[in-house]
Amino acid sequence: MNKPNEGKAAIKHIESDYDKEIVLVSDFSAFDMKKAPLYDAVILDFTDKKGCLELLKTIRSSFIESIYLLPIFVLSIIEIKDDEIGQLSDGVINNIQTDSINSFIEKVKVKRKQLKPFTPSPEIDKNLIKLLRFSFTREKSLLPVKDRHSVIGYKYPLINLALDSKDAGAEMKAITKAVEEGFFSAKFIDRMHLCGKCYSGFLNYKEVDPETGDAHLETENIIHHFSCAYMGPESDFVREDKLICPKCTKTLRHIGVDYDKPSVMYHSIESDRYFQDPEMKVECLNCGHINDIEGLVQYDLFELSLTDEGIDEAIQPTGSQSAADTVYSGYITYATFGTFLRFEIERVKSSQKNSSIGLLRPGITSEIENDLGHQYQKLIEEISAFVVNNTTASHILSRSVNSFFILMPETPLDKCNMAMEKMKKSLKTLLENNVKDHDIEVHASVREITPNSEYQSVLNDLRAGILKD
Amino acid sequence: MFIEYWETFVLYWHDKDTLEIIRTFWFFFILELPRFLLFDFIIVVSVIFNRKSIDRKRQIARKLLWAEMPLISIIVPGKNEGPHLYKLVNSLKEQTYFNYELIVVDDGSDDDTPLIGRDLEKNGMIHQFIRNDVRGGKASAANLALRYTKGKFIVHLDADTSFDRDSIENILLPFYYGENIGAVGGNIKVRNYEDTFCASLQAIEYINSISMGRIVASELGIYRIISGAFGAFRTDVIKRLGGWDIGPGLDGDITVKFRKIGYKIHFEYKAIGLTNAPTTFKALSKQRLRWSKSLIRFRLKKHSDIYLPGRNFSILNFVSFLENVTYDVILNILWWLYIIDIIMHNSQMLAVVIPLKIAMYMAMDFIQFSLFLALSERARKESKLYLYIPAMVFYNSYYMRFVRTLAYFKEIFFDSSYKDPWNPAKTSVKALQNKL
Repeated sequence: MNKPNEGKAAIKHIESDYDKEIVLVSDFSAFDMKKAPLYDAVILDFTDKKGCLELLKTIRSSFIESIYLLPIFVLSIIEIKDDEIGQLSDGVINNIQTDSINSFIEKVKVKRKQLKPFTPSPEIDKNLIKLLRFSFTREKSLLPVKDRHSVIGYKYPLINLALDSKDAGAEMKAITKAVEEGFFSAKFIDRMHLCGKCYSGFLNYKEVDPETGDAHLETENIIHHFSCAYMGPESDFVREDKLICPKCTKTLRHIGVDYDKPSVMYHSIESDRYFQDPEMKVECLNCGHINDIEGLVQYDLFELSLTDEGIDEAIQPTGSQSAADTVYSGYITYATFGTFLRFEIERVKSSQKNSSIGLLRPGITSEIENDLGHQYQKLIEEISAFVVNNTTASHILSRSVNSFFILMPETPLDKCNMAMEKMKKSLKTLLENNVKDHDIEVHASVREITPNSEYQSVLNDLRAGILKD
Repeated sequence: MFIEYWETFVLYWHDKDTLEIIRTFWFFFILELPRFLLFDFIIVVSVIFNRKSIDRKRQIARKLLWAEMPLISIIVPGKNEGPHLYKLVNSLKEQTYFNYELIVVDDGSDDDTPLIGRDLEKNGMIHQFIRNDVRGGKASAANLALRYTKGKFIVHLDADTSFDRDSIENILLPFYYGENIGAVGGNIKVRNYEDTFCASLQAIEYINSISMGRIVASELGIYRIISGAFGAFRTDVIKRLGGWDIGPGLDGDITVKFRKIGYKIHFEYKAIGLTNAPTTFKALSKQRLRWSKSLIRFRLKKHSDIYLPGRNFSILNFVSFLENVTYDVILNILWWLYIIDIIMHNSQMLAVVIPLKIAMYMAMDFIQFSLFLALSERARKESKLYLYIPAMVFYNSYYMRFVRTLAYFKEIFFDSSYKDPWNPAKTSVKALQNKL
């Protein structure tokens, strides 16, 4: 049934058994962005490829959460090879199956409910929060896609929408910062070599005369005639289709017996210079800068997956905490915890008394979380209180979603391990008593903080330990 | 006992008249003294007396050289010469003559030479560094350098040679004061003469036999070997000749090729290059076996047409070869007969005759060395070598003659030079097939 103000079949309402406002858009010019928040999901018809991508970009480039987090599907009966559409949309469908669309809408809704509103401030990077929230609500990694219009030849579609597409450096900095702050884990995808001046990936690699920089070169084999010891470029020997020695006029018949080719010589046509070791130069086709190979910027592209810290930041951006922080009474923020950990490592270096750190994580999956509904928040608060009550005042605590970090200054590893095992058992009992329908495992991991410890690797090891537990 | 011996010695002299003495030491008095002392004396005296005139000619030549200031190409072929390259480059940087291009050919080195060469090339200290991954032999490496030269003259060097500041300038002068000069040989001396006894003896040998011999041969117009360590060539002529042929002994061979087409060869004793001589007798023997074998190969085999009358016959070339073969081959063999003759005819007096013979050679070496010092630019320094002169008779008369005889025997009967690892087997096989 068409809505009266949406004209013809340009925007078509999709009937379904679920009470959801799902529309199919065929004429993209008729789509009114102001009404986007009213829809539960939008299906874009891929018949107009250009229009489809443009609208997709327009929706995702918005900074209004109810717009950019809108579930969008692309309808196409043919396979779409455009990775950008794959990244920006929530899936390509070849027919309208409302069941799967509905379940996706529900999933996004549950996730969105967890997102806490925040007031924009200079401390908060709204681009970053948008990335985190998009990734969090979709449980989706951010992947770079090949794009010949992008300066580096690749782009992260969602990140690219928010930044000047010609400023590759800004995109690189944004990603590096997000990974360094621990919001994303990075899995290697590809390595790029970019212009040292403008970060462009459109480079022309060429061999040049090391003295004149001339690129108009030709190469020739050097031939050594064994009989008379003449050695010179192949052109000295070529007579029609034969090789004839210019010194002794003998015909060279058999390589390895009459002659060999011990090297190659480069000839610069412009300067008439001969040399063997040309220089490799890289001309940037974007800014014209001539780079040395060593002067290129090496840039790795990663698949970016949200970490627990990233989820935490997505739900409530650092610097936006207000009254809600009181819920985590007894805990410090993850960023502050990181600072404490750094100080602790420095302290251990000077005192030579090792400390320990533990991580406790109840295995509450998103399914359990969905099933628990409002009870979930209550359960987490109970676990938080349990951890606070089972630690001493000297312990420093931080919470990241359902991960509990416990820094135990001047505590040997075995003591820390014992304490964590004890807490793990007690927490397991507590969960068994509170959640009857699910068997929730509790995982724990401990690490020692020594003078040689490195902040990031301690936290990484700790997380890795959880996976093995 | 010494008094008895002395009496016998005096009596021997008293009893013999001059002819009998000459009969006994006929090899020395008839064959060696005139060639190695008389000629030296005449030439040195002539050079000293004509010094002013020679200096004038050199001055004019120097003006002509600087007026033209041609580009010259210095070529350095070799294998595993990397460690010497930096010193060589620095030695050349100090030269008074600076309009040169330096081309180094690395003939399949298996050490750090490619890295060193490329580094020097990148820093502009070598104009062209050419690297062959596969070894081809010294001749082919020199020919490859020759192919890319642009200079009017080619100066061929060994990488371990260093030079007096005016050496390059001096080696070019003969092209400007001599007529029809195709190539000029530099004067090679031993740099490491203080290292070992063996090196000290070679230092005297280089002065007495090699340098002195070449001054004389050059003045007589029969100079026939330009040292590979330091020689200059007219580029147009050497390219016409097709460059160097397969060695060992390619330096002597290229000189003969110049002579055969009518060019004069000059020895420039003021163009000084210093090189390291072998420090052990084992290494020295190996080097000299190679040199002597090449004499047979090139003088008696490859260029045997020099002896035959023909269109290109030249009396000077004939004399040059004849003198070379006579003094280095025939007399070397004759010397063994001379020894037998002395033993047979003086069996009772050997205790007197042998020391006497040795004393005569010592005296000749002493005079010859003194004559050369009269011309030498570093006479004071070289005068230290007087101490070693007494040993030269044993070095020249016994050790060297033995090495040479062995080399001639091996080369004449077994073509031994074609098996020398100094050249890669692939080229030696071809050289033997083609009798090169």
